[in-house]
Amino acid sequence: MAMAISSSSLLVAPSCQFHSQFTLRSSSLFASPPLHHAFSFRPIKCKSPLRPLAMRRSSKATVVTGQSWTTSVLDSKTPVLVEFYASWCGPCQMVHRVIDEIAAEYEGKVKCYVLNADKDPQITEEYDIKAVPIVVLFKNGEKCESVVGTMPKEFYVAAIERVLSSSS
Amino acid sequence: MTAIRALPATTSYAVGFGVSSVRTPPTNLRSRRVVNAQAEPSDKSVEIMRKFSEQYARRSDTYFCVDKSVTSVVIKGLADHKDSLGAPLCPCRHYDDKAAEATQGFWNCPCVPMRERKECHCMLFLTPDNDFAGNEQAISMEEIKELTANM
Repeated sequence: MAMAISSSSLLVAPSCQFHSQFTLRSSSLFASPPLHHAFSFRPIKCKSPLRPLAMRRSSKATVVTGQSWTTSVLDSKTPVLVEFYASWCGPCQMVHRVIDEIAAEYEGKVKCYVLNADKDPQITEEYDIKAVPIVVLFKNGEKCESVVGTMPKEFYVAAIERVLSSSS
Repeated sequence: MTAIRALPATTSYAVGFGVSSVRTPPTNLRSRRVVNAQAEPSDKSVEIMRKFSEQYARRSDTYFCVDKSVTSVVIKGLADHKDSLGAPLCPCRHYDDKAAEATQGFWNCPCVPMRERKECHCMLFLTPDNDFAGNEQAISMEEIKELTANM
């Protein structure tokens, strides 16, 4: 605990250990408030080991339809990724897995959706989509990038990064 | 579940494949649910398209995808179109008018790009130099059923 005096940022890791030991020894009723308290003081550092867990559990690409298109895609404050797929399209399922990973990794930065081209032909035709899978990126309601076919994950990530770093 | 989901978070598909074949059925349920909610094609049509796929792969010197669930889904998609339209229209495209497209024939399997340039964006027939190509030109009915069981 000597480190605690020298620097507040160094305190982070040891204090985590300290609290977990503390929790083990004391009753759960008393253990939780100080632990919670410690968290609120903590800068980002101690939070990060928890994040991967939360990320894996939560976000995946969700379904968007013609009905939710305007609110989910066009009016979105953050950039949006939409994967257009068809029901019996084998490669679409491969792209799906990648988009699910991306949805988790870019949680909070990019919203990820999938749209069934067969079920929502009006949206599909509006964006002149012929071949699936196709991944289309939107920013401020405008289509700005698209990746046709089945590509390695890097392709999608690169497209997202371009969209995130672009000013418009 | 978390461990399995974490593994395919790779930089290339090659690794993802190995993992996907090991996946247990429950893991796929949630992600697959999104893709599929449709009626099954008839066994008869699936068998016809399975046979056709094997023969055409051999004839064109192409190979099935290393992830044969891709092959299985596409074969079922072709069978589904054969049932509903009378022709095996490519299941990896969107059409304004499926019936008209099936009559026109450009995208009936094997489509014109495949016949002319061995281009199959559905990844049913892959040239050996394709990163996704496996080394098989055969697929059994059992494999197709098994690999599409969670759909």
